[in-house]
Amino acid sequence: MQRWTQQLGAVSTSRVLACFRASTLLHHHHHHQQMRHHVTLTAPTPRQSRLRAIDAARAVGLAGRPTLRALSSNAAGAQDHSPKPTTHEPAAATLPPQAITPKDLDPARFDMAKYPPRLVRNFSIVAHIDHGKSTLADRLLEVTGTIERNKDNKQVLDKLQVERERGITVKAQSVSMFYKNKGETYLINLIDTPGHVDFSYEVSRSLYACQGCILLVDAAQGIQAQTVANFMLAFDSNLSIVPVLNKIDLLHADAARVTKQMQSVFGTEPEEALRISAKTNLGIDQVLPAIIDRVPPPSGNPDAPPKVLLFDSWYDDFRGVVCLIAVVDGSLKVGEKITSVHSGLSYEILELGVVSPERVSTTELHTGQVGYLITGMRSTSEARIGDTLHLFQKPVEALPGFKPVKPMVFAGVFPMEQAEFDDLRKAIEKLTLNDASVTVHRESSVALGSGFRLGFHGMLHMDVFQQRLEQEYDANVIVTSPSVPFRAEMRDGEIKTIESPAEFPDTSFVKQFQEPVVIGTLVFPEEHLGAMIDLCQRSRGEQVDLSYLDETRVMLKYRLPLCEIVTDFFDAVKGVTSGFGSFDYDEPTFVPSKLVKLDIALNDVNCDALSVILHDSKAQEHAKSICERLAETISRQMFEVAIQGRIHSKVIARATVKALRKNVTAKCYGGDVSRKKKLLDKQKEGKKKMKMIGSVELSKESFLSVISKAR
Amino acid sequence: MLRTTAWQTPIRRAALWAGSTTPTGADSGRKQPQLQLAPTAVEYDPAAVSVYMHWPYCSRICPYCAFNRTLMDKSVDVARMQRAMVTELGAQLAHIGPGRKISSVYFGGGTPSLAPPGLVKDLLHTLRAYQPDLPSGMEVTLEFNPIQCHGSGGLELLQSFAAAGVTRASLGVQTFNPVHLKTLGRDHTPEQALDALQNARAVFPGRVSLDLMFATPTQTIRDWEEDLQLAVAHADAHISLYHLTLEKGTSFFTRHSRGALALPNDDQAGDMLELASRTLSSHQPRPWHRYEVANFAQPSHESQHNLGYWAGNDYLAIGPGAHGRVTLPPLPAAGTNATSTWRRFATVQQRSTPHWLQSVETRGRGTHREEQQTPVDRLQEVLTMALRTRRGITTRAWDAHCSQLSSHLSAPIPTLAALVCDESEKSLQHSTTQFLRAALDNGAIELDLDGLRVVQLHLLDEIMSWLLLRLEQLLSSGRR
Repeated sequence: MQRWTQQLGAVSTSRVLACFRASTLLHHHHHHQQMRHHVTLTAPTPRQSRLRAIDAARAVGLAGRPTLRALSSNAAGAQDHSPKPTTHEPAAATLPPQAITPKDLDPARFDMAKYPPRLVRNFSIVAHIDHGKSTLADRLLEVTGTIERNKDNKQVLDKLQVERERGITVKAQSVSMFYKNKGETYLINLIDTPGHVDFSYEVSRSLYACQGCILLVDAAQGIQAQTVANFMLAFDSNLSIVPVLNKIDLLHADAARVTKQMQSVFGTEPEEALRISAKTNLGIDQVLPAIIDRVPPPSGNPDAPPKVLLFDSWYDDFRGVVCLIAVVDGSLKVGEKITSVHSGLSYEILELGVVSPERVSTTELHTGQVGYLITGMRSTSEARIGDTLHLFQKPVEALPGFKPVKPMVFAGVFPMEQAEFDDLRKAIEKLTLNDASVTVHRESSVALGSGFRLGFHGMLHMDVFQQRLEQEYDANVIVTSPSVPFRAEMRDGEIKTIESPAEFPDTSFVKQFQEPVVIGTLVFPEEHLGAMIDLCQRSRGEQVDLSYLDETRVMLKYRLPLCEIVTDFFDAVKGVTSGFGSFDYDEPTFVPSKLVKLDIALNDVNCDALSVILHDSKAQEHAKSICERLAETISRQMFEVAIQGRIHSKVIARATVKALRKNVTAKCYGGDVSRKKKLLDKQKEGKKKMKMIGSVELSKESFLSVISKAR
Repeated sequence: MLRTTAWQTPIRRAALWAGSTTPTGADSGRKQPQLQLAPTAVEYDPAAVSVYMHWPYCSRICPYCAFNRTLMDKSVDVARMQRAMVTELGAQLAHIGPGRKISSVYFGGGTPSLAPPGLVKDLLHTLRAYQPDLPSGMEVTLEFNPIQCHGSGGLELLQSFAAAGVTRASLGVQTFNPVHLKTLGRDHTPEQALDALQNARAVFPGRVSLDLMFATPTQTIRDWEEDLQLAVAHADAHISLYHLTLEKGTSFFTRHSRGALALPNDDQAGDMLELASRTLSSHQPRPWHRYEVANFAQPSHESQHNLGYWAGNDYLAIGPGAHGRVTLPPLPAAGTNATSTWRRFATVQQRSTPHWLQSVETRGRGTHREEQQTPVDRLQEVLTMALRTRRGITTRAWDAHCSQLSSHLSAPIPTLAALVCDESEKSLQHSTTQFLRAALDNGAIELDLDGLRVVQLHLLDEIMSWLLLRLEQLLSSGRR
């Protein structure tokens, strides 16, 4: 352990489960045909390269979470109170073939009083994308009879996930399994976490419900950036670690090399690591006994007043808000009244239970157990992740680590036409009902009228939200250039948070600006080192550490400004490493920085919707690039369009779109009318996608061109 | 004879032509053609109807032409064609019913100067049978190919058509440049064109139109300037410009898609149109009036036929592939569901000549399609056509069209002022309103009590597409 601490000592304490997925996904896909259906299942054809990474990331998010909500809300609701075998049969027709069988729902099993803390184990699986997490989860579910053993069980839980009723908030899941070991039945909860950096806080809260984790590494691929980051996170949470090498049956597996890597990076002893193949079931029977042996039972006090961690929630159309909870101390019973430490609001417990893999109501949950809770909560915003619950009027000390929602990327969202504002408002309300982590403020733009300033965890979160707005609610929106939160320390000592360019203060009152920076971890083949260092330097990075995982793989740590990496850094990493690099970063901290606000003026009118805040050293280059891209996307029109990039009122870049010379058909007689009508209709439809800024027509593409950074 | 002196609402005027009262403004004077100066503007007149006749045959096929045309060879039965056109005209007149007022006739093609002059005579005879007081000086235009009009033979041909009733000639000169004439596949020389022009002016003084083409393959702005100089020196009283556009099914289109045809780009074409406008309107001592995007005339020599199109008046379609517009009055309220409003139809005749012939011979009319225009279609067409003219759309014309439609629509039809500048706060946030406002502020369009007009005619389609969108939005907003 000392060895990796020494190597990675500079790394901050909080890690997130993220990586550069698209690259490894493709790479892996190439090598392992068995993963094919996984990829096709979850990755729709992307439109842009940026979205490609996001879609891939989404695929990971799905793959990484054994979902427990197997049934549609309807069916699940019907079963909640009567977990009898027969109720499953009608629903089975609509379920994937892997739906659990009646014998798995033995009511005696769900007598929760039979599982005191010493018979409970809570663990998660830490892995890089495609290192076999989902397949391992399938095998464990089979071994425990949670699902029927069936050779068609392939990422069972992923498929169920496709229901997507929990929306985009890639959050934690839990599944309760029952396993007989040395004559005793254990309750084993697998708590799975999302796989993206955007959701780091959620991850840290779900890990808080665990006492151990499986560190799963592909015996062929070895350690990746996500493996490192996830391990750090688990280690920082004081989890017991069970190293597992997967895919040892592959021809190009190199267990010796990877074990050596793990020893060098994580300090795990070679003999500690289990060697398995989740695909072929090889060595699977060692996994749960190892969990029982090496992971300690939860340490709560059954006799203390109930203290409960809320680590996830989602919205069910029929049941309202469903919370995932871990009972730290004491126990809960249906009918009791509970209170939230952070809101002070109290609720009656309407339903309690475990997820296995559907919701099974149990009337009570005891110390150390993990399950779900239904109260009268109306909105997920009442169910704050990391909140502590206690019995009404029996307060307890709050569990550590609670943080209110803190968005890291903000963007303005405006309706294409103001007449559509109400529709947009309704759509946003509906979407945020299921995703309370999106912050919503009304915003008014001179150029774009009334709209919203939305705050997201990150770019993935933002893009998925926008996609859903457009796809599910048919909302035609303009999204302004995303911005990270900056800070200004004013001369009077006040610290102002700047969430949008409109909030950028008068610099004469500012003592100092601050910007968020992160420590980024990059793992990639050694031959790309030069290109990677170049990329990081261009992104205003500062090297923190460089180490070799083995002879061929490098791990690089850079301090990177968040605003440089939120938009397309993932794509760039993929580009310079031919798809073999992985990237991850931790939570940001604020450091002093020289920031400026770049305004874009069209025909001398500042277009507030195109303004961006950026580092002084980047202003010139960025302004030039924005002006050029705008000039390319703005169509020639009635008047000449002068595009200027300005700081204060000083012009630092310019471009011009010449006026349209001629747009008229120079003949139009009787027989031409129909033909002409078609031409005009086409032009007219084109105008529907145009937004007037002053006297200038801007298309949605123009706005998009400013958002994505050219390199 | 300004027809607009005593304005009557279209409805009342329509009542007039439904009965047998002499239409107002009809001039039955028998004066010399050159003294019968046309009015400078044609207002929308629901009683007026012009006639377009399409002669589909040509002696050769031009590589840019996408009009309905076929080679005129020995197999063509001219007499049969002539009979069929007369039959169809009679049937079309019967279709619109009595009482309408014929305002102009136009023979296009194809090459109608290849048709026998007797055809013109027969058709005018049919028209006179429909409307006995048909003005003798009424504009009857025929398109002439210069190759047929030069020399003494040409003069005779022109005279024979004049004797048959043609009062105006449109001469397809296209260019005076011998190289470009060849490229365009024309069979005449510049000298022949000038000679033909002289002949035509002698036969139809003050009533000759000259067709010129620009943005043709390899044409330079210098070439175009030379054409314009020759045109102003020799033209009579009317010049029409054609921007060469590539149409599917033409030889130029195929060659261009192969990359084998170099055409001036849109900017160069824009320069050419502007040069033409400048050269013609500043010409001394005879400045030309640009009364439409691509049409120029000496004062009071505008084409009545074209002005009728642009005013939104009806026109009858005769001949293969001809297009027409016919407005019919409300049906008598027989059943409870009877239509109580005016119906306007877009008609197209059979495009293939054999089919058209067969159809006319069996049914009287060769109409292939007759589609009732929706109110939105109609209003969009009215705007599209009227705004091509310098005068634009007049408040009276707009209101008159609207008054025939109002009961069709759930949303009220906007006035011209409301269409262009709605000052309500909600509306100001619309891109359409913002665009039109900017266009007004910059003088690209003008709005006053008389009506709405586009000043920057070279950007007409750009402005038009916003206007059409705005109209669509206003008319659909009431339906929600």
